[in-house]
Amino acid sequence: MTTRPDVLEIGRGLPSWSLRVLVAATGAGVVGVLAATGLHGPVLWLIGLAAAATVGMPSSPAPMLVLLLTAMSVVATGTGVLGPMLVLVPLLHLMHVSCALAGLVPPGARVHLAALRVPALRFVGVQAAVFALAGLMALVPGGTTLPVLEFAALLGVAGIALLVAWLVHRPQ
Amino acid sequence: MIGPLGLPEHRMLRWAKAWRSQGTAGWRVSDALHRGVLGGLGLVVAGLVLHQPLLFLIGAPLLISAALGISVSGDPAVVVRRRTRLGEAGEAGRLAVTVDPGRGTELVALRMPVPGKGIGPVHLLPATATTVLARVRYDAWGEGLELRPDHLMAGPDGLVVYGPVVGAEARRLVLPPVSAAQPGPLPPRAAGLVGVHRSPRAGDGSEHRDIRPFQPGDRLRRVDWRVSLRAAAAAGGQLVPGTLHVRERHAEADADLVLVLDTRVDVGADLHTWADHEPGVVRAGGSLDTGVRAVTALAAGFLRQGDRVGLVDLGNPRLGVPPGSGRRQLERIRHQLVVCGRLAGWTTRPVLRPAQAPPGALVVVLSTFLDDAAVDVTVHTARRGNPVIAVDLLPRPLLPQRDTPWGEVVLRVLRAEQRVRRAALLGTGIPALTWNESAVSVMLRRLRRRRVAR
Repeated sequence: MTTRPDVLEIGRGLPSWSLRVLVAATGAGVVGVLAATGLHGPVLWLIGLAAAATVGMPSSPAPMLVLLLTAMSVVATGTGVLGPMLVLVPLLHLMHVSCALAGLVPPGARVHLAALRVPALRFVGVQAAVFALAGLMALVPGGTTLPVLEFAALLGVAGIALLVAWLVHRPQ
Repeated sequence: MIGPLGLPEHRMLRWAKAWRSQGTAGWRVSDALHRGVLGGLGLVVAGLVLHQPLLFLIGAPLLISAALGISVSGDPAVVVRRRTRLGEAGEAGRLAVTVDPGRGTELVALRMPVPGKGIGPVHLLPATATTVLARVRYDAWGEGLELRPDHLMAGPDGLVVYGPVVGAEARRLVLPPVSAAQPGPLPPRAAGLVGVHRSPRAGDGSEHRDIRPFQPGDRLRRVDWRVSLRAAAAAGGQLVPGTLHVRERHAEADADLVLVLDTRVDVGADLHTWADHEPGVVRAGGSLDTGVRAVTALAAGFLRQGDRVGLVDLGNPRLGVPPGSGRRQLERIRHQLVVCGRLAGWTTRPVLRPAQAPPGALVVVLSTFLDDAAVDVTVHTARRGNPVIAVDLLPRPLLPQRDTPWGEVVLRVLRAEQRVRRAALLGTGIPALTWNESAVSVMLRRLRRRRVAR
């Protein structure tokens, strides 16, 4: 056994289906939260089906479908910031990350916990920032927003979109 | 440019192909990045426009992750470290590959072997490890694929990927194991000069052969004075011609052993598996595996004794090894057995030419004797004057095929045929043995006693 950080001796690791179990758990969590907040009927069934498809095909459009259907449900129910629906923020992010990781390895692969350390730390960091923003949102008084401010926010989002597009398509 | 159908390829088609290949070569974005950018951005915009803070909060982490996860570059590579290509069965070792992950890479999906599972599964590892080690154990002998480091590199959260790339294959030759088989007394070569086997000829060995009257040319130190004086006393007390006697000793000679392996058939104990045999792969615990281990054990035992040992492949006469002695000969035979195992296959006519078995050499034929041709070859060799021992490699007990009502009947017919063939061998004076490590040496001692008695 070596102690050098740049030398890794392959051990047993976890089976690759453990990532699928994580995807399934987050999918079940999303469906559970929506059901608990009063969503019933065909939309909930549809989200459940999409979540089940996500477990089988993490690299398919199924996770995107879960995301969009959940967003539509959130709009339909119209809950506030600090409600039980806030649990959806880490759940959907975790589903997104675990789907991305599960899509990297074929069935029968072994997942070594050391590989998940950095993604886990990043997840915690991003969620901490988002929850800080949620806290700030809860503190800011509600009411009508100035049109100039709304226009600036949309410009900011467009700027972020352009930045991401440049990062994706820049020469490597 | 001419296309695959022989027609000129359109410029647009060429451009489309180039665009597509560009999308799959080098770093490329995964569907997770599309999800993060489109989903995240869409939710953030929708949250702002519809005044739904929760939508904004759901979209924000996806967008932040996407922004953090696309800063990768470089040309990642995986290189197998220099290693020996030769291994011994039962040995354990470690394989090492060097990973150059490139800048910004966070995850490496790398195929590496684990003990007992061939080239092994894909392992998801952190890209901080630039040297990846894997333990391996060589349970089976033969030549096989040992390592193929297929790999895929991924940026943060697997949003940008490089590959999958099929790794370069690394093969290893594992020699058959050498177990200790007891050597036995072989019939000496008529032309042999030195060795460990007692020759019927008179010579300079250590074993007593006879006492006879002195002849011109006999050495004086061979004179047996006690017998000579007794003879002189009987002749009146004078050492006259005819009373001087000499002691004669046996010559010592080396011997040839030719091991004939029938590689045409490789069967296991279960008849159900006889039909599904993969060519070029030796069945673990099957008849060919047993035969190869038996050949190695016998060759090692007799070569250690100083004898000359050769190998003949009944299925492929070009693959034999002519008789020789010494440790190198053992290595030569073990290497050749691996080649024989790889090229093993059915032929209707096994070949054992007179040139392959020198006159006087003991021939040990190792076969399953599932067809008459193997018996014919064995009998013809014995008729040429070589002492022959037949070793039956058929696994025991045989298990009938269960999924057919004819399984038990087939097994019974097979056993009956086998009995007839063994009886035919015994009828021509060829002992037929079932393989174990002392069977051949016991039989050789028995044959020697018979020779001496004659």
